[in-house]
Amino acid sequence: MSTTAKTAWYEGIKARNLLHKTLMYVLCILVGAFQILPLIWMVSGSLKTIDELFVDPPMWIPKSWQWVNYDVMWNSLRLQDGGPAMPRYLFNTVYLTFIVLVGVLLSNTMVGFGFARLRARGKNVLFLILLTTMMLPSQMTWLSVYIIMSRLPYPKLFYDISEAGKPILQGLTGVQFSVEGMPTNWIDTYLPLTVPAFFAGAGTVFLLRQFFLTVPIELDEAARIDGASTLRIYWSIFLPQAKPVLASVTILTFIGHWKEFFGPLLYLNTSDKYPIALGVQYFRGFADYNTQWHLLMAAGVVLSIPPFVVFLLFQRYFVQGMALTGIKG
Amino acid sequence: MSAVQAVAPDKSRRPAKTGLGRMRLREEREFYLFVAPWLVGFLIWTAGPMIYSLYISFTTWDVFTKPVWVGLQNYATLWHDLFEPSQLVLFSQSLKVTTIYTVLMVPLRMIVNLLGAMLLNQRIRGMPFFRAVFYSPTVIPSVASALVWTWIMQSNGGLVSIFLNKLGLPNQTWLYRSKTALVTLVGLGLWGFGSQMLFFLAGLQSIPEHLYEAAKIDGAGQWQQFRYITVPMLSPVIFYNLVMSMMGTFQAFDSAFLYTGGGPNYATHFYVLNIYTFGWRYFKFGIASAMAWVLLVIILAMTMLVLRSSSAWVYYEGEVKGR
Repeated sequence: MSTTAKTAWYEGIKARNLLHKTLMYVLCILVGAFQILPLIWMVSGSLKTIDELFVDPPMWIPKSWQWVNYDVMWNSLRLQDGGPAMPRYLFNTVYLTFIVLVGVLLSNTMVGFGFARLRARGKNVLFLILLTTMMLPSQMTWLSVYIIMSRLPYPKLFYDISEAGKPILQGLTGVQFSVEGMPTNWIDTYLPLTVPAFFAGAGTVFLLRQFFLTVPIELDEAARIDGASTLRIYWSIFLPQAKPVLASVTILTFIGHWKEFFGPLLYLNTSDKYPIALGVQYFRGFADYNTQWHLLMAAGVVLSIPPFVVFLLFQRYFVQGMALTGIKG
Repeated sequence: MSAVQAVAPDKSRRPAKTGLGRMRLREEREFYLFVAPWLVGFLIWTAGPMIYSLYISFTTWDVFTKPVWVGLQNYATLWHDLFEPSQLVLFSQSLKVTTIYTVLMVPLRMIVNLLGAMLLNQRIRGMPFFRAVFYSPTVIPSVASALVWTWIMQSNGGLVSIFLNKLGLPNQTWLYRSKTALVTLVGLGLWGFGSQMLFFLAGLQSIPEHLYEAAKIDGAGQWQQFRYITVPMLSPVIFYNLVMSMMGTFQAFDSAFLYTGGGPNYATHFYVLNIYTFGWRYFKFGIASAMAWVLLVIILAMTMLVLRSSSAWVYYEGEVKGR
């Protein structure tokens, strides 16, 4: 091969690579645009006047940004005592998500640690059962769990604690709480939504067990020789080791629970108690369907921002967690 | 780590010859204490309710009065509905709708996610940015994305209609007509990538480069490389995604609830939406429980079928065939 032929051959490869790369960029941008444009359309819609909503050609950037839409949306839906509903819904979600997170982190790490590190008869059978429950459709148990919840008496202690906590929460958040009588059962309370989180879920247990298996056994043997109890080993050795995995679980649980509307739809009857996802869906029933899209989009933006920001900040943990559990679509 | 700090070994706790059995027992007791949250939860939120719902499925019950034992009557009603579909049962209608939805959705979603993964597997700059963009619809609550898509799909003045008008076509009413609603839901469901793409991406990255190089030397084109290297090497991932996606799609609820409410004329009345309707709208917990049990059987059967077929098309490296 002569030098010129070699150069020509090399140039050909380079040109093909460049073409390939350009094509890939174009595809990435096209696909990316399809993913992101609806979200931008939502934000843009939330800042328009009512007349700008349906103009042709579509207007992507409003003439003047109508921040007032957020104010109107924020105050238009009312609680039973007349206060604005949206802040309360937002608070409800934060509160629910927090309790669920505590429950998920505590219970799943305990069970995962047990399966990974402690020997016992019957362990393998139990683990097999755990894996099988991952396959069960949750609809199997909705109806009977609902009936069980409707039969469980509401614990007086819970009621006393929550009544005592209301003034403090009110002081901290500025959200109004009305005083209610003690509920007779668990329906229309937060217990069906929070208590099950304290009983560990198969997917997360599996993920944590897999991780705990990778912790070197020398660590807990050394601790045991030093006289540490099992609880101590779990708390002071395994939990700190598992920080990255716990971060993944936290992020996934947060994002997953922020959007949760089905459980609340089943169990809550009083709209004051709705979390924001169900609250926005409820708001949709109030807004005049064909005209008030700007208010609905504002509600959608408020609902979307927290999970979106958490995703952007902790993307690595989110992706890791999704890869490890695969619990999302 | 304070626990590891040197503490004088406590001689009394060192296992004596006879103490070994006792230590085992103690460890066993501790195991059951540690897994108690799951074990108790399994008994009261899964095993118990399942047996309970099996019992309910043999009764008629509106929750307020006492359940009445009716034997197999609920199942018989479902069986008859297969041959004489009734608007009062909607069993065969919801089964049909869900099956069509699953048959369309599972392969399409898989292709979309595979293509997305192949795009993200390219070595070009700005990949982290594109990856974040590709994921963002997944983290948006479905209630919010349903809002914006309903607006986009609105027949009068929605983005799609405006676009169609530009082409000289009339406003679309796809979500509001029984012939097109289901397919439209499939299309809307293809927006956004999920964990499937992630698994595909991990799978793609684990395919050794030398396989492609060898194929190139043998003169294989892009399509042949894809067909004879990528697909077989990805088949375990495809298998996993297929099983999970089938189970998930058959239990679809959100899109029907948020976009169409099951209409028009029950064209998007998914199976799970039917269970919900019978349970929480009509308070017919008996027949709703029977439907839930039929769902379990269907899902188990589907999974077994795929599992059975897997030996024919799933390729595991290091697996010895013919044993």
